[in-house]
Amino acid sequence: MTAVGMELEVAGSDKMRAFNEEALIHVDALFGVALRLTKNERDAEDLVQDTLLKAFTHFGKYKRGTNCKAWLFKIQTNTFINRYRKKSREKVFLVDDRDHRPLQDRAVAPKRNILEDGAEDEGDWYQKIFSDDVKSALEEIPTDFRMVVLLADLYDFSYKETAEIVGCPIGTVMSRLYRGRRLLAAKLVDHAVNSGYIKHDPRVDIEDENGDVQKVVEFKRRRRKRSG
Amino acid sequence: MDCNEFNFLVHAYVDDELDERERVETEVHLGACDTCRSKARRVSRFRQALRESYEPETAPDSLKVRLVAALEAQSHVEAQQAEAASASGPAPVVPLDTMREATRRPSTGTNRWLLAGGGLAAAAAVALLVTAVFSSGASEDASPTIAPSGTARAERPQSRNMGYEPIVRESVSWHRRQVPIEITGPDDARVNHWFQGKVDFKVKTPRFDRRGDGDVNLLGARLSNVREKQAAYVVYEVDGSKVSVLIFDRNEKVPDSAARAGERGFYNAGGYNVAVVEEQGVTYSITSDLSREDHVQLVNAAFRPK
Repeated sequence: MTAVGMELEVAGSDKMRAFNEEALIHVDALFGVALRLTKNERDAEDLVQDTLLKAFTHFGKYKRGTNCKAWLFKIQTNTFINRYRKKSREKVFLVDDRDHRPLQDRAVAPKRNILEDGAEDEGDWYQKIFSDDVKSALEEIPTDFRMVVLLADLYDFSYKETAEIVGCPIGTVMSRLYRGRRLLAAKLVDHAVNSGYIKHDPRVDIEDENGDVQKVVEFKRRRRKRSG
Repeated sequence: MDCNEFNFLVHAYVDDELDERERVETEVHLGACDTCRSKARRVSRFRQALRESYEPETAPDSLKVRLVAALEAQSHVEAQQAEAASASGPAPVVPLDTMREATRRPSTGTNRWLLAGGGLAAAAAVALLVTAVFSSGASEDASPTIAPSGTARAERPQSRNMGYEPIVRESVSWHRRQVPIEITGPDDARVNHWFQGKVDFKVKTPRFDRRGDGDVNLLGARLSNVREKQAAYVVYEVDGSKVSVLIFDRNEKVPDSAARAGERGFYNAGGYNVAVVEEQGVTYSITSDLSREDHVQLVNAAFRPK
């Protein structure tokens, strides 16, 4: 438990005690992720409460001593997708470059992303990013990517756990993480440029969609061949 | 491995998620390729900067209080269901009276702050039980269709009432939702006072008990919103059915004649009866599980045209 947080403890039955020890200790992490998903405190609180009540009701199905944190996050993710996301009818962009320049200008622009294709001397901009920048940048990227970056990068889940929580194959986690980080980096660079942290606009562009998909397909094929 | 393959693997490599063979292949390539080495370094530093800058939130204490109370209430319900099941066979149904009793029973827990924060905890217990008792209503997926109820059409010209449709829709959506309560009843003066400074109009919870018969109980209230305006959301239990009221200031000019007449419209949306009433510049939207006759009677008793 953190120093500021109130201790969570439910008196009563054995089930309560077990739930205390294994599930309620994750309430801060659940809330942190819920807040990034719902983007507001009230919905985040409702989501966490729904999640933990569901978990409590189905606690009998949970195998004691296994990965309770991942189990809780799976419940929370499903609850979010089923209720909140449907409700908000959020648009999901596969490629969210939000590049409004005319097509011919985009075609000749250099296709690179600061994260992977930047010059070495541009590498210092992210030493100056702040928590709030990351949070707002995260909330600007599409939910599928946001979820994977949150779980794998910020809440310490492995690719395998993330895949189970989100309910997709590991290959999909990898491609979403790859794209999610690039989108996030692009947003953070935008912010750094706008705030004057870095002097020149490195002109960030997302790589050609087909190129990326081709790479992922190729990678999956190679993986299959190896494991087969 | 070539640079193209590495480009996709770089993230998994940095995350230490490659299998042994992939890792070795990657490192062989990195040993020979400056471009990819600097790419891996950038991804790694970015990931590190992300983790180091990110300050994770902690769940607010109010949520924790609510959670514990809700879980204790749920546990209590489960215990009673188990008891009922062993006594009278399958399909236990917890009667309303028992549930109500459960919310009023002081906590027998030993938790120090739960005792200290009794009011809030009790509020949360009520919220949960309100949910449990009333959740057997219309299914969540049924999309509400709104139609003015028969007599309302006859009584009132439709032109103004049609403007109520978004309000009716939102009222039903709030009515269906299982939301926690922030202030408990049954003392309406205490509930009204609680909203002071929280919303910028004076909240006066409707007095459904003016109806004179039957069982009316103010369960609790919370902050909410209607059409992006702040609102008070109040939940009642009337003859064992849920009645919810959204109270808000529309900040729109209501024609004097309408205001004097205590303008009201009755609707049916998604299986719920909804009434919208204007009184002294404040809009009340009353939604219930009651029959139409009971609903109209209840509303007319609480809002008497001047």
